[in-house]
Amino acid sequence: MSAMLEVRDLVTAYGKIEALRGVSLEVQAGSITCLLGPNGAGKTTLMMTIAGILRPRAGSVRFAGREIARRPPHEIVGAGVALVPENRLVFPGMSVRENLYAGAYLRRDGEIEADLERLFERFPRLRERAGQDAGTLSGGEQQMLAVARSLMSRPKLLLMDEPSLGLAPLVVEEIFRIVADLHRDGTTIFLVEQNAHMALRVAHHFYLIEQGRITFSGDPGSLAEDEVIRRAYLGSARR
Amino acid sequence: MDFYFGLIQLIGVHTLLGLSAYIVLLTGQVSLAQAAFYAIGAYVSGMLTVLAEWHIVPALAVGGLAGAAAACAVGFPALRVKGLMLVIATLAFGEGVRIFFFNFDYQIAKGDIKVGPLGGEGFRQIRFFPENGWTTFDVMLFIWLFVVLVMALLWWFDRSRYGAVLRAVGEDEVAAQSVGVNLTAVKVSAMTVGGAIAGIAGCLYAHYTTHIEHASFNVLVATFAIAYPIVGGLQSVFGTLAAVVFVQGFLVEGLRELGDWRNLLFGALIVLAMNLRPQGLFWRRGA
Repeated sequence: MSAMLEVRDLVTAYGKIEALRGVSLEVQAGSITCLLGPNGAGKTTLMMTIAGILRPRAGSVRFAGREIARRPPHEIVGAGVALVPENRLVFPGMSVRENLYAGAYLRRDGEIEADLERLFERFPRLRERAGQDAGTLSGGEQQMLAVARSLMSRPKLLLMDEPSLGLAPLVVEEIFRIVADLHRDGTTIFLVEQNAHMALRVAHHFYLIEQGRITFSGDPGSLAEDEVIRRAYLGSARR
Repeated sequence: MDFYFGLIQLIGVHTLLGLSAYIVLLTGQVSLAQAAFYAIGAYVSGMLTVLAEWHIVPALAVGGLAGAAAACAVGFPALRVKGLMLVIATLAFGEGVRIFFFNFDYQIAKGDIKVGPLGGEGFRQIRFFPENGWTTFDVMLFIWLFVVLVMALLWWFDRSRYGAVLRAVGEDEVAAQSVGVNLTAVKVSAMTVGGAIAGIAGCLYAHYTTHIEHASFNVLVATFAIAYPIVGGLQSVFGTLAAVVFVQGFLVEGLRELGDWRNLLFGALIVLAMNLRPQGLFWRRGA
């Protein structure tokens, strides 16, 4: 395995406040890598920076050997990185089908329809609701739609920002089943989660981020799960 | 009869003005600069037909291009700011253009009289239509030719891939970026097309009224431009047309007998219309 994504000393700031204070990590090709950490640790900032929506102040992001930091988001999507944003962010006033076409926005090949059909096969619920406004779907269905939409760009690396956020436990199980399926079919996945228990079940490798810095990295099992969970929710700083 | 033709002309021109704001609103941007592009189209094309004695058609094309160029130039810096900041930035630009025309003199002698823009007194004698024997009815048809053309183009555009991209940006910018939409390109393009439509509307306006001045392009006009598509609803271009007919045909002309009370009722009816039909006078799907 080689590193598909290499983040080095990444610093991203909102004005004077540094949300990422020199983050370095790697995502191996063909793996599921998970980033755990408490609220405000910088997880979403990292995802948005890798996707190009936020510009880093310093540091580098290399994808498949190519520098992508400070490139505009459409180039990064074009290079094969797709973000499933936090809170799903489907286009609420557009139909499910239109949302999926939007995912294929940068593609000019003739296989878009075939990919749409394959996704409908994978997510039969989306086919049932194809003509419905995305804003009328349930939270779980919107999450599936957001994942399916990002798959329409045929990404090599899928960035998923808290896919389980606000979903019922059964739906969370389903989302993680989808993550495992996608991985089995060859997609590399970099996942941000607060649900450490579920994340550790699917991940090959995980990082802990606290206050804008990576504080631990290892394989599931290298740290007791209750310790991971405590630090993922609360951080390690003792007050 | 000419009164009704005149009203229909006005409705046509205001529909174009509303549509110029419609396409910008689809991307979620509120621009108060539409009156400025309208003014630029009016003055540029008026000067071409009066001073350079061009035919109306090429003058209209150049007026549209001038509106588009101005909108594109404003688009790049202005669209880096969002929401209320953009409203203020475009308002400032609009007022700047109005003040420019308030001070702009460029007159040449034509026979016994001088023609061309004359600052605060305005630009009189834009007489292409009467000089060439066009009747009010002909002018009305000419204006509506462009209204129909622009509406048809936007209607088609709305249903195409490009329309979906504009709406995607309007619905959620982060989501649009995460599927690979180039926000700047989309917003500036929408602004440019809107500027072209406003420029064409300005040309038609200048030539049917024959007299324009800076006050014809004030912030009230800019407000009307964005009010039409908002009152009409952003579901379809027909909403904008319906709103112009409602506002200009019914509220402004229909209530004329009420005299000064009209303006009060006018405001109240817009508030009422927006409360009863928050998605616009026309809408495609249920609330």
